[in-house]
Amino acid sequence: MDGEESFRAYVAGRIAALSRAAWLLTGDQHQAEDLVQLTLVRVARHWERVSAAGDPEPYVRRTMYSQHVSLWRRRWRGVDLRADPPEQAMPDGTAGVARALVVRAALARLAPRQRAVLVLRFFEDLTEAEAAAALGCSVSTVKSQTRDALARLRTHAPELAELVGIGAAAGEER
Amino acid sequence: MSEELRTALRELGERMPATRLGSDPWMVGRRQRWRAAWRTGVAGLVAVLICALGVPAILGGSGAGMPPAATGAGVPERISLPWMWQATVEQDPPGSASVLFGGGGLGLRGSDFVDHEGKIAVVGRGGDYRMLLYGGSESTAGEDVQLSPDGRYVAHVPGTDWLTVTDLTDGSDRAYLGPSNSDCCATPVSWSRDGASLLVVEYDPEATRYDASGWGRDASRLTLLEVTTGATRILVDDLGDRWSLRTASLAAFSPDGSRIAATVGDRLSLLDRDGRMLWSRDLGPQRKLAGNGAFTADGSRIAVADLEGCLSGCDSAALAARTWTVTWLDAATGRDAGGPTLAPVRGQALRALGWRLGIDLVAVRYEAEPGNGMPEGTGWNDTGYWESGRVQLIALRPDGTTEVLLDPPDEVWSLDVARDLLEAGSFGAPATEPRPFPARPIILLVVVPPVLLITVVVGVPLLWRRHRRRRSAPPMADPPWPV
Repeated sequence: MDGEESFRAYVAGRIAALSRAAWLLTGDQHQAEDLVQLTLVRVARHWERVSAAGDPEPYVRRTMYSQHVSLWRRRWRGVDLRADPPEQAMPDGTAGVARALVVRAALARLAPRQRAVLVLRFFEDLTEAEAAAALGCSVSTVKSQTRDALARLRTHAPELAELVGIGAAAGEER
Repeated sequence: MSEELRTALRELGERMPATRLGSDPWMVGRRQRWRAAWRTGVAGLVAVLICALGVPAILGGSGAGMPPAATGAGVPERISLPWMWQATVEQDPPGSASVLFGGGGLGLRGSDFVDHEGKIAVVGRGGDYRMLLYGGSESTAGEDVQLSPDGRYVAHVPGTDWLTVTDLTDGSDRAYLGPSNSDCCATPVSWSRDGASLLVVEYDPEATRYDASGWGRDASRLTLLEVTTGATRILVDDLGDRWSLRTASLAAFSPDGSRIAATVGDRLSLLDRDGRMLWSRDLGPQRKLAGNGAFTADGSRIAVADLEGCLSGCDSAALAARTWTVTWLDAATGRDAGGPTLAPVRGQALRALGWRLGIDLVAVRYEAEPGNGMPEGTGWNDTGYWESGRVQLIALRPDGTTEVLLDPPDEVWSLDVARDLLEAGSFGAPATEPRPFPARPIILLVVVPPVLLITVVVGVPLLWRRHRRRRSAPPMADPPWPV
């Protein structure tokens, strides 16, 4: 299998999961699609090196999370990165799910790094060390970001206290 | 509960359909990779060129105004051909020179289309090689490009003035007008020993007369130029056709500069600086003034080169078989005089430059160009650019032996040496190779074609491969929707 074939196989197998993580990171479907697209383009540039290492997942994950923070900074400065808006409007899959709506709104109130930490730790089920590797920071930073993120969720979304209570705090110890 | 948060996040995430990729990330990524590689390559090339051209030009520009090396300065034991793109004197002055030389090959002759036909190499006393460039015609060191006795100035005709003197320490030019304020046309013949005067042959191209064969004849005059004031004085009003002159034996200053030996046809005359003739005698067709260094160091005798061999209509073999023997004239009377018996010199021509330590006659020996015989109906100059083969700098000792002082590469066809070094016997100084930088911008002609060639040879197949891949690549399959 040459580089292009293996890349296409990887994308076909992982794009759904990448899209979900991107959606949780961005809180917006279009931005999530942008993030996935940018991440895959970046990965394609270095695919030979990435795939030669065996498991491309750590590189892809790290690329996506750093792109997410980078995109967020650029959007914050008012730059619209999307050259071609999607032709077809996508239905909002969260409609009608009360808890999902609350979680989504709560995530939106977090800083990008805090959101990233929560997604890595509680959605992708990574250890603190793996999360630190994906974010390019230290384990202690992951710990503090997780603690702050959960505290912020408790403050701004008391209705989620049940989700992020003591048990969640305990999850930080993994 | 962390598990409940996990569940909530999963539920939320699963509401996101798989991304519909707007463009094929593989193709976009590879394109970006290529662009990055190109940008890196171009940036690297630019950096290399900047380093190659700019930095040495800045760092290597220290030759300007450089004084002669305090020790070891002298005529180098060996000279090498300059780079085709060697920097000019104007671009980076080499300081006083030890040697000038011209000839063939890319370093010493170019095409006016992209370079200069006439190229004279200047070897500075610090070892730097720099160029004097002349468009439109080939140039000959020691004849139409003359180094001053102290090696600091070069008298030459760059093409726009009657005569120009270039200061090798700063690259500046001083242009001179001829008698009647003419700005054309002259050829330097000899510097006076003190560097204050120049003998010049001038001619008027507007008075060209054409003979039956269509060969143009330009009447020429021998003129004295005072370098400091620019004043000129005609010494000999009719030297004959400029293009039939044998430039190596035209004229010579006496060591004190007060007398001038001048050749008109077969006659040799001694003139004062006002052009008054002190004596004149017929040398015959086989005897020539030995060169602009013909006066002995004490000024008492004049060296004459006697030719044994072919004089006219010679083929290359006959020219190569010529032998020159130095004999002597009394400078006071012009009569034949006694003197040391120097070894005969075999070659097409011999041109005396001066005296090493007042004892040995230093001269340039010209070999014939193989296959290059005298043409009929046109001018012939034994030491001219087109007539000469290789040259050697030799010393003829009074004991009858000959020493080769400098044996340049075969592509060197003309040579001039600073008189002060020659008279001091400063030969055999350590040689330096020409450094490729600083360079003239023409170096791009050398660098760019190989880069383009490599680009084409490597790039076209890669582009073609990419093109074929793009055409044959299946479109990125849409993932299940929604997931």
